[in-house]
Amino acid sequence: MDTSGTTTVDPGASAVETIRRDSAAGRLTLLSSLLEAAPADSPRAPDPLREIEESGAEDLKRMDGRVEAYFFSELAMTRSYAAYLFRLAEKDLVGLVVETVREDSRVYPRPTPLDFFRASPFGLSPEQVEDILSRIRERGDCGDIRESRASNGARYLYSTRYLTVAHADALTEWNEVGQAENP
Amino acid sequence: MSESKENEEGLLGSTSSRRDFLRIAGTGIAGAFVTLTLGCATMVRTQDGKNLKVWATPSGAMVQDPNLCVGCRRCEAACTVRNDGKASAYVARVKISRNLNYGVEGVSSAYALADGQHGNFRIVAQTCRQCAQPKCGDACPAGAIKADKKTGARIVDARRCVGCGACQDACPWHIATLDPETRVSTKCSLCDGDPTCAKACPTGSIKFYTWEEAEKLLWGADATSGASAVSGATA
Amino acid sequence: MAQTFGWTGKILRVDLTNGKVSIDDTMKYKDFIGGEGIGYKILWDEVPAGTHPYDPENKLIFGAGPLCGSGVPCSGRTTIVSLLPTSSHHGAGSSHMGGYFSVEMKYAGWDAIVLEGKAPKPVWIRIEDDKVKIEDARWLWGKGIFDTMAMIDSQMGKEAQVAAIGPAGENQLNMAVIRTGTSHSAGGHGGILGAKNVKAVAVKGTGSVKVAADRSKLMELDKYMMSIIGANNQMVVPSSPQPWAEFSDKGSRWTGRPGLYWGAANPPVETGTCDPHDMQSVGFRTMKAVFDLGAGAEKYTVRMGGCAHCPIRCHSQLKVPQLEKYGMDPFVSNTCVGWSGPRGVMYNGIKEFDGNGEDSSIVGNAIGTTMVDDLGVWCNYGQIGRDVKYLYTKGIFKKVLPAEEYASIPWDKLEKGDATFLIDFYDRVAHKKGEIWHIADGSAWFAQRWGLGDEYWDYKDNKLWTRGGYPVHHSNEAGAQVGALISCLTNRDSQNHSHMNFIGSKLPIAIQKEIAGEIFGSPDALDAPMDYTKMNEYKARFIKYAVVRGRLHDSLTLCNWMWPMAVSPLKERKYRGDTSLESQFFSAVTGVAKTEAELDKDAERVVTLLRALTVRSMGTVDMRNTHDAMNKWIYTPDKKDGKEIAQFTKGTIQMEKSDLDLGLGMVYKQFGWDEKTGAPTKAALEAVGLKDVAEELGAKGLLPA
Repeated sequence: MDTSGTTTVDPGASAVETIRRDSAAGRLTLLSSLLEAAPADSPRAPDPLREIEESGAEDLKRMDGRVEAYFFSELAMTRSYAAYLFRLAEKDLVGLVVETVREDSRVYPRPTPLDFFRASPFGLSPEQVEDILSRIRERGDCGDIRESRASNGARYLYSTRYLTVAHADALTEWNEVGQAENP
Repeated sequence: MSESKENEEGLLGSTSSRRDFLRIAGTGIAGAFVTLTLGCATMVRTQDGKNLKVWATPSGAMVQDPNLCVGCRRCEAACTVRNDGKASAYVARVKISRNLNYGVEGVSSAYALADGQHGNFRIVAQTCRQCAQPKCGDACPAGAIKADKKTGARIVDARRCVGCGACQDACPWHIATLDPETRVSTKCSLCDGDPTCAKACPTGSIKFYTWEEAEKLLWGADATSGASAVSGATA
Repeated sequence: MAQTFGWTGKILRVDLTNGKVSIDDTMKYKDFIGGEGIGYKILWDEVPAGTHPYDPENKLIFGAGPLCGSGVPCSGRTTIVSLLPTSSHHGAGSSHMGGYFSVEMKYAGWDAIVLEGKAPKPVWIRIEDDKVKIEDARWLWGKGIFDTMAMIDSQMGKEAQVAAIGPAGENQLNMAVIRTGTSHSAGGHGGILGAKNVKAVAVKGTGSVKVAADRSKLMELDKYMMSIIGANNQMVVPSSPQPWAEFSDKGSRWTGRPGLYWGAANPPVETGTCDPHDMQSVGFRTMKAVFDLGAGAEKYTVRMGGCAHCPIRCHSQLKVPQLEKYGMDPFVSNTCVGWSGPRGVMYNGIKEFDGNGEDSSIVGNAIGTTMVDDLGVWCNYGQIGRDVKYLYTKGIFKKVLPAEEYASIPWDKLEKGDATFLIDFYDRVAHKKGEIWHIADGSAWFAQRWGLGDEYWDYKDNKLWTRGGYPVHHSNEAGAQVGALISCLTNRDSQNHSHMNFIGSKLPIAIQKEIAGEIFGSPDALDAPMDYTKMNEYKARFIKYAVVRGRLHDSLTLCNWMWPMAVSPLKERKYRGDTSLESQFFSAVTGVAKTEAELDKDAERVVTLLRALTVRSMGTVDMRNTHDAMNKWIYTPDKKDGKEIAQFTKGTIQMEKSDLDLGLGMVYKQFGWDEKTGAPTKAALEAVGLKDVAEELGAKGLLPA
C-alpha cells in the first residue's frame, strides 16, 4: 500500500514548522520522526513535544495509533483527511472502509463507490479492496455494511444503520448513472 | 546612490537596453551629453549630434502564458475598472480580445487549425513590453509618455496627452490605445507595482516578471509576432 | 440621453423589412432590468397574440443586462427572447448562450438588439459601435456556422463576435440554435432568424460599460465573490479527497486535483490542488472534460474555455485527431448537454467503431457535437435522443417513414453503437430530407403529425414534462416538488439552476438543511436526496426564489449555471454563500441602490409578465389544467416485483398527483396568482407594476374571476 502519507523531518526545521509544512503537502508528521536525533547545531528544540505544547499552536492536532503518534495542522489539513491518512498509516484498512462507508451513509447521505478507495490518497489495488470486503464480511461487527450495484456495473457500499436497501439502491443508481443523464 | 547613477546602472544592466542604446546612439554612450530629464527618461545628445531620449529600465513587465490562458478576459475588465472606472476590452492594457478568436495573425482559410478559439484554442495575449527604448514614448509629440518613478513602467500622463494616437501607431504591437471615449491614450502602468490583471487571472496565466525575465520571455523567441515565449515556462 | 452606468442606455432596432435602423432608450425598460425582462416587455407590447414564430410580425431580441460587460464574475451571457417554435402554443421564451457576444454588444453601445420584420433576401447585420449595416448574405447562406463566422470575421476584423445560424436555422427547423463563439448555442430560436432571412449578427465594440461605484468598491466585491464561488453549478466540494477539504463527492464538478492534467496542452498543465483560497487556481477547479466525457478525455484536453468574465471554465476544449478521418477539424469544444444532447441519439451507447478503440465514445461525442454545432441543430435539452429511441424501438419510424427512406437509414450503425450514424442522421435533419427530419419539429408537433397519443407523453423514459413539448430539466429526480413545479412555469425546459446550484452543492445534508432554514424559513424546504416529503410552505418559497432568480439572472445577465451563491466552499464561513451578491453588484455597477428584496421584486415582475404572455397566447386563464398539467409518468408510482412503491418512501422520486396539485396552488399563492387557475390576478399584476398588462388581459377576458 501507499505509505507516502508520512514523511521524515528536515533536521533544520522546528517541530511546529515541520508539521505545518507536511500538512500543506498532504502528509501526516510522525512523532518518531520528530524525535529522531537532530544535529547538535540544529535550532530545533531538543524535545519536540514540549516545543509543540509551548508554542500554543492551536492548529496542531495529535492522533495516537497503536505505537506511533501522528500530527497535523488544521491550517492546511482537515480532520477528515487526516483521519483517512491515519487509518492508512495504521494499516487499518477494514476500519478505513467501514468508517468511511458509515460516515458517508450518515452524513451526506450516500453510498460509497468502491473506486473511491482506488484513487488518491488511498491508492488501493482491486485485490486489496476485495480482500477488505471479505474481511468485512467475516467480521461480526460489520453486519451493517452492504453492497449495492448500479446498472452500469459500478459497485458501492453503504451502512444499513443509516440507509434502507431501497434508498441505497436508488442513490447508487442516481449517483452513478442518473446524474450523468440529467446534467 | 544618486538617481542618475541608478538609472545608468539600470540602463546598462540590461542586455537589450544596452544593445538598443548602443545601436541608437551610434558610437556609444561615452560621448553622449545629458541635456535634460523627463521623468525618468533622459535626453542625450550623441556624438553625431542627434537628440535621443534614454529611458530608465522598467522594473519588469506583464507576460501571459498562452498555454495557461483560458480566455475569460477577467484581466481586461479588472484592468479597465481599476484604471478607467469602466470595463472595456478595447482599451484594456492587456490585449486578449483582439487575438481571442483567431490568434495574432487573424482570420485565414486555415482558421480551424490556427491559433484562437476558432482554431486550436491557443490564446495569445499581447502585453506591453515596457520596451527599453519605447517607440510609443519616442513618438509622443507632447512628452506625455514617461517612465514611472516607482516601477519604471512607461506611463501616459493624461494631462499632457493630446489624443493624437501617435503612440498607438508607433508601437509595433499597437498596445498603447487611444480611448475613443476620452481621447486620451492608455497603456500598461504596472498598476503602481501591484498589477490588477495578474490578481484577476483565475489560472495564473498572466504574471509580473522582472525586467531580465520578461526580456527573455518576450524578446527571446519571437519578437515580431507578439507571441510570448513562456509556454510552460512559468514557475 | 442621460449618462447611464451598467446599461449602455441604447437599444438597437433593426427593421429588416425596410432596412431601417433606429435607436430606442433602454431606460424606459429599466423596471424589467435588462436581457430577458426587456425581451418579454417588447413581446408583450409589440407582438400580438396568435403570431406565428416565423411570421415577420414576430420579433427576436438579443438581450444583455446591466451587469453584462462590467466584469462581474459569470456575466458573459446573452439572453435571446422570442416566441418558441417548439412550444405547442408558440409561447414566449428565452434561449441562452454564453461566449463573448453580449459583452461585445455592450461595448459597441447596445443593451439589446431587436430584429423586426423580414428581410427580402438573406442578410447579415454588421454592427461596429454605432455604425450598423445590413449586408448581403448571398455568400453565407447555406454555409455551416464555423465557416460563416470566419467569412464574416475576415470582413469585419478578427475581434468581431458573431451570432449565426446554420442550415438548420435557415431551413426554419423548430429545433435550431443560434450559435456564438466556438461552442455557445442558444437553443430553439435559430429558425426565427432563418424565417427573417438573417444569417448572422456580428458586433465589434470599442466602448465600455461604465461603473457607478468607486472602482475600489467593485474590485473588493469581486474579490469577495471570488472567495464564495464554487465549481460549475456552484458545487463547492471537490470530487476527490483533498487535504484542504472536509468533504468530497465523486459526483462533483470540482474535478481539479493533483495528478489531473489538461493533457493535450503543450506542455500538459496540472489542474492541481485548487484550494478555494487560491484565486489563481479558480480556473482549474472545473476540469469538465473528464466529468462530461470520462477519464479518457484527459489526454485530449487542450484547455478549459467558457465565457467572458467567468473564472469557472466549463467548456472543454479538445484536440481529437481521429476527427480528421471524418473530414472534420480535430478541435472541438463544448459542455454538458452540448456533448450529451447530440450523442444522445446513440441510444444504445457508443461502442467501438472504425477502429477508434477505447476512445470510441470520446470520438463519437466529438463527431456529434461537431455536426450539430456546424449545422445548428438543437437537441431540445436531450429530447432528440430519447425521441429517436422511442420512435425507432417502438416501430414508429417504420410506420411513418416512407419505406424507401426507412431502408436508406443505417439503423444497423445505431444499434451497434457506431457513432458515424450521427453524420447521416444530422445531415437528414438539418437539411429537411425525407420525413425523418420532422423529429426536429419538436415533440408537440411530431406527436400530432405521427399520431402519437397518451402513450408517448406518459412513457416514463421519454421524460416529457407537459404536453407543451419539453422535457425534464432538474425536476423531481433531483429536487422533489421544488424541481417539479419549477418545470411547469416556462414554455420550454425550465433552464433553471437556481435550485440546483444549492441542492447539488454536494455538502452534507445537515449543513444544506441549516442553510435552507436560513434562506427559506425552515429546513423542510429541502429534502434529503431520494428521501422526499410532502409539499410544504417552505418548498413553495424555495420555488419562488428559484424561479425569480432564474429570471433575474437572465435579465442581469448573469449565468444561472453558477448563480445564485447560496453556499460557498469555505469552512470558515460554515459553507454559507451570500444570496445578496446580485443586488450588491447591481447597486455598485448601476448606481441604482437596490436591496436583495427589491431586486427580486423586479425579477418577479418579469416572472409575472412571462406568465401573462402565456395566458395571452393560450387564450385561457386555466393554466393549471392546460399549461401546467404534468404528464402522468411523473406521479405514477414505480413498481418493484409487481408491487407499487409508495410515494414518499425512501428511494423513490415519484410524485403524487394530489400533492402536486396542492403544490401548484401554493406556488401560485407565492406569486399572488389565482390559486385555482394559476393565472395572475389583477391585484397581482398591479402589485408588480403591470397595470397595463392587467388592463389588456381584462379586456380580453383573461383575468381570473
